[in-house]
Amino acid sequence: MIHALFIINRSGGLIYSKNFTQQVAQLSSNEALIFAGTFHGIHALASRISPAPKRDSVKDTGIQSIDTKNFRIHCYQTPTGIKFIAVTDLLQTKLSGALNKAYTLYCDYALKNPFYNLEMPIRSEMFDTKLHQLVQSH
Amino acid sequence: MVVVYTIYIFDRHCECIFYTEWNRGRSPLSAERSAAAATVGGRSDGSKEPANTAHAVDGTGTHLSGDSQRPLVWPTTANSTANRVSLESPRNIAMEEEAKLVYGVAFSTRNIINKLNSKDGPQGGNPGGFMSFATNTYRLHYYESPTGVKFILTTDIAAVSMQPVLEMIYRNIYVEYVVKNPLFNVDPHTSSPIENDYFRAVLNNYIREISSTTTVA
Repeated sequence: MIHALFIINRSGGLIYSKNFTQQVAQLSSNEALIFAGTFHGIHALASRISPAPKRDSVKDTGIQSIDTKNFRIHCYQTPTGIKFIAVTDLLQTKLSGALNKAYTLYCDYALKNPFYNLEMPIRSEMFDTKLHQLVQSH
Repeated sequence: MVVVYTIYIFDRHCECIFYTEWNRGRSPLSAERSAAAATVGGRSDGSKEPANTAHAVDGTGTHLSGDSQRPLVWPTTANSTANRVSLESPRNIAMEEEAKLVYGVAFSTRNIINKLNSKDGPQGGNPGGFMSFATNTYRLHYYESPTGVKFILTTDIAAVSMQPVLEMIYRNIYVEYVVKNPLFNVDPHTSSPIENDYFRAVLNNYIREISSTTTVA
């Protein structure tokens, strides 16, 4: 079950946020922006403080999931630096597939829209409905 | 198999009062470390570390002599000897920087999770229940005691839940060997690093134990 979804652009700005259930707090727009900025920061710092022995081939990519008592946060970062963040229940152990599909939706319904400005909030009804369908199927 | 990399303990003043590492490679922030290791002697080889700690835990007495082989705690207040500061200062700068980063990441994560947690709890503390986060190379576990002492443990990603371990460290090692020490600094306005060798030895022993038992299981 996906409780909420956030999309953060390359520079840490929030471009999409939606709650699907009442399980997590509905953040005000200000709080959501703070959430996005903070997450962007800790995501970058987490890869710098890796204590694991360095291997040339493996590079730390930043936070992939956060476990808490009541929910789990999954993060999928695209090669272009956009972060898809989902808040789910504790039963979801891996969500990269669903977040990958959300990325596809973002490409199809936001990026391919000629009126969409890059790095700006997504306002598209089609994107909303498609995303809702995706969340329902999980 | 659980590979434990580091443990940090932060007091209420956000001050790192204890740090130890195991199985750790070189991090970009402690690049100067090799220089420090060369002066201290015998520390440049990371694989030697477990053997050294085992030596200390065996109670042969050498761990009390303040020799160079024991894992480092860096002095954060003036009560440490000048000799030690000069001996370890090249590395302390990097390590202290890193401790601040680790604290900042854990603290911010805890805060955004508390925000997301819908249930209105008491202010402060860890009502959101932040337990751990994982990247593709390590996992950071977080435990906060009711009094605000924060324990941060980093392991490999396979170790899913270390909450019982951290609670055990707090309950049976930190409280027993640090808080119950009559020389424990009770002044709530200052912080002092943990320099208790028994605490270090017991902690080393415990971490070694959990590393090996989970290997067998």
